[in-house]
Amino acid sequence: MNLTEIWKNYDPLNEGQALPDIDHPAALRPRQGMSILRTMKRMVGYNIGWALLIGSGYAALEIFVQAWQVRSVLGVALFCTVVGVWHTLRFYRTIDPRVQAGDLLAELRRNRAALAGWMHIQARAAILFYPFCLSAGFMLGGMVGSGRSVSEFMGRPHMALLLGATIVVMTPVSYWLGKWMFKASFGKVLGQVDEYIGGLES
Amino acid sequence: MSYIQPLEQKGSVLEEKQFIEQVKACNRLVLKLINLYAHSITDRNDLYQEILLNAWKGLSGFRADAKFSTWLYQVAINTILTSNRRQNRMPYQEGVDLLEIAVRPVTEERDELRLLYAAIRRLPEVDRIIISLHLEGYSNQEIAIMTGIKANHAGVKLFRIKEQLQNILNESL
Repeated sequence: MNLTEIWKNYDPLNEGQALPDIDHPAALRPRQGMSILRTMKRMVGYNIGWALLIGSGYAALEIFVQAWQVRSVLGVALFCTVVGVWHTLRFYRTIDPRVQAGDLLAELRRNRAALAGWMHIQARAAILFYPFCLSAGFMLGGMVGSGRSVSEFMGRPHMALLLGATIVVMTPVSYWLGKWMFKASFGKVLGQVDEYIGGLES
Repeated sequence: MSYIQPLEQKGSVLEEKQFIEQVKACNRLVLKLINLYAHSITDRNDLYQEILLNAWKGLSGFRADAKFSTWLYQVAINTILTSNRRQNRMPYQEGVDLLEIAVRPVTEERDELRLLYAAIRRLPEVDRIIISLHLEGYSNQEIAIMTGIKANHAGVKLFRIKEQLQNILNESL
C-alpha cells in the first residue's frame, strides 16, 4: 500500500469527525491542567501567595514574641522567606506558558528547564529555610507548652541535643517530602519530556 | 501568502476573524495529527482547543512570509508533546476513533487507512510526529527544522521509523 497516498487522501472531516465550532478565540476553553507550564506557573503563584502569608505570620510573631532566641531564628526564617519569595517571583516572571512555535526539541528543552528550575528552587528552599523554621517552632512550642522562658526551656538537659536531632532528621525529611510532592505533581510529565528529548536525540 | 494582519492589529475583530478562517482551513491537517494522539473525542476536542489557544496567544510570533499551515502544524506538534494529556485507559485498537472508522462500510481503502493509523499509533510518540510530517510531504530538511534535529539524523530516523512501521503493518496483515 502507498502510505503517503492513503494519508493524503484521508479527510477526517468527511468522516463525520467534527471539531468544536470555534467562531472566536475567546470561545476557546481548553481543559484545565492541559498545559504543563500554565499549571506550573499557577502552582508557583500559589506558592508565592502562601510564602507571603507565612512570612506575614513570622513578622507578626517577631512583633509579639519577646524571647530574643525565637525572634532571632524567626528573623532569619523571615529573611529566607523574603529572599525565597524574591527568587520565586523572578522565576515566576520567566515562565512563559505559551507554546513557542520554534523547533520541537527547543520547546521540550524549554519545558524541561522550567520544570527543573522549579524543582531546584523547592529543594534549595527546603535546605535553607526549614532548619530555621524548625528551630523557631521548637523553641516557641517549648516556651508555650512548658510555660517557661526559652532560656529555661532550652536549659533543660538534652534539649539542645533534641533540637539538633530534630533539625538533622526533619530537614532531609522535608527536603525529600518536597521532592516527592514535586514528583507527584510533575514527575510523570518530566519523565515524559525526558523520554521525548531522548527519542529525538537518539 | 498569509492573510493574518500585522501585529498592530492584534486583538482586533478583523484579525480574530482571519485567524479563525485560517485555522478552519487547516482543520483537516490538524485533526489528522491529533487523531494520532487523542484517545477519545473529549481528548481530541481538548487538544484542538489547546492548540488553537496556543496559536492565538503566539500569533505575534508568526512571520508573514511563512506558511500559516506550517506554522500551525509546528504549534500543534509542540502543544501535543508538551501537554499533560489524559492517559489511555484501553488499547488504541478498541479506541473511539477506530470504532468511528470501523462502524462505517468497510472498503479496501478504509481498511488500509485503519491499519495505517493503528500502526502509527503503535510507534513512540516522537516518531509519530516525524512520520506524520513525512506523510504530509515535508522534506527531511523541513522535518529537521521543525523537530530541531540535524537533516541527516532526520533521514536516519525516518528510515528506521518506516522500517518499524512496515514491520507493524506486515504483522497486522
